[in-house]
Amino acid sequence: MTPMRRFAPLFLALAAGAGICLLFPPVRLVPLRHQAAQTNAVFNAAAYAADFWSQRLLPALRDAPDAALLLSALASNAPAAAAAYGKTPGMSDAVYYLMQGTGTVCSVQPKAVGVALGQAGGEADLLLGTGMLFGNTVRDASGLLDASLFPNSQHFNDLSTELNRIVETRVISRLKAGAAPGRRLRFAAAAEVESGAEAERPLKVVPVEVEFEERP
Amino acid sequence: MKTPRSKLFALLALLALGATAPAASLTAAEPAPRTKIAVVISTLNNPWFVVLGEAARSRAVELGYEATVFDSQNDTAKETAHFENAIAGGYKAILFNPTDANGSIANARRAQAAGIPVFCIDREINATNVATAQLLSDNYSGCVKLGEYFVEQVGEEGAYVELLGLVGDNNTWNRSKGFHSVVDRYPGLKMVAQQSAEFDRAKALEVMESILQKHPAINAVFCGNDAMAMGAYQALVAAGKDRQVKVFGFDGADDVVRLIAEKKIVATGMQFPKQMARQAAEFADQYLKGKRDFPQKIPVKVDLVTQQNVHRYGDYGKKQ
Repeated sequence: MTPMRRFAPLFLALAAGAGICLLFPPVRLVPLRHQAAQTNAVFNAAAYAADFWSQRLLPALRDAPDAALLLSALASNAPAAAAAYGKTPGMSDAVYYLMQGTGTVCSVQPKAVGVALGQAGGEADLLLGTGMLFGNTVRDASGLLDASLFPNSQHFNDLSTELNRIVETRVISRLKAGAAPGRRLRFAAAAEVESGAEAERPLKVVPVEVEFEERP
Repeated sequence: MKTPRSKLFALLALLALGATAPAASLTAAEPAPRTKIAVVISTLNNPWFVVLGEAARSRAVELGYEATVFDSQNDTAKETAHFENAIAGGYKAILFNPTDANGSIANARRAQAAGIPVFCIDREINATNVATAQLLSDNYSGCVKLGEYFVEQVGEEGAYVELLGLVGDNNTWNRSKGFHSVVDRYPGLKMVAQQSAEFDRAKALEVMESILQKHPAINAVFCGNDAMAMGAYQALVAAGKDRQVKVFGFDGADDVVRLIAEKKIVATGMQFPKQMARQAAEFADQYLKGKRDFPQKIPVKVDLVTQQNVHRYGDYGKKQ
């Protein structure tokens, strides 16, 4: 048997393999920007959340409406307030808000700090939560993150856990350490407001930024 | 005055009319075949999914389509066969409740390649470029609320059991993770057993009976759906422990809502299967009429149903 004849089946198999590879490519090149969105590979929720927190959420707080203005709008015309300032992810009758403002601590409770937006000695307009933080309020209030960016919704939900962890360690701990009746503070907060609860006061919110004024 | 030649033409014209008229009237009498929409459901062995499928089908029919429901029996191979039949059978859209978040992607992709839009209902597929849109219960948030209520009702100390759904389904894990994101923060709450009962009532009964033999002194059971909550409750009744063990479900199925009203089950998460299914049918209608810009994933809020607010819920939704 000549060498040509001996290797003919091998050549044929290689040619057939090449043909199959051409028809059904074993490797598909995908643009990098799609990579995060289209794989079920390991998703680093902690890194994504840290980046989102510093690069996107904190800058967005500067554009949040004034808390007193928002509360007034919610009490007088809730649908208009939702349209102007709110975010509703998907199909829901709850609306998420970001807000910022200054106020005076009027009560320190086991799981919240009451803040009056007007002068010292007033009733609490807001309850800034200081207990354990659960749910999607921090993730969803800015409207900057969309479920459609995440092929696996578990990853999207893992972000909430990580963002809540950041709020607990960086914001709530500072609020708990510094809160005392009469103390002035500047804050930013996120809130989920259920339909029908728009006029309830004090409104429960999640603090996302807190700075105390120096004690006189 | 008409000539014999013109009379002949007139006669021929009349004959022609006579010949065509019956055919024309026959065509008018026959309705044009309606566009077909397939409703592929993971299983019809659970009343909640029957409601989901039927709501999708009936809304599609209301919108003027012929709609057929296919039961995948929680089997991706059967699901594949349904997709192949739908493609070969000339269906123009598929309303899809997937069996497996990863395993069902190929089926949706098959329809996509055939130019048939797929609208996922309730359960997702782990891809954002295959289905036209996905309407998904916000299971995580729903179970965060359920977890918070669990701690309120059971307390910060106790032993509990978790019954999981299908392990390949994201809903299973989103529910479990939402619940544990709360409950795991309380070190006094100990999970003594966590087992899958595959969202199935009969399996839940069997699994719960076996768990109770090993752990007779539990305080609560969290079930990833209401069918399993019913099975677990049945096992507790049989063991005489239904007053000792608090049962929590998820779905908003009518039988569980009724048992909450009777103070036999503590709480559930109300998903809105009719709302999601109707919206999916409306999306398909809009697509077939030319719309193309749909959001890919649309979370649908879940409500916590307790013995305090149960009067507001029923018939797989909120009472009007």
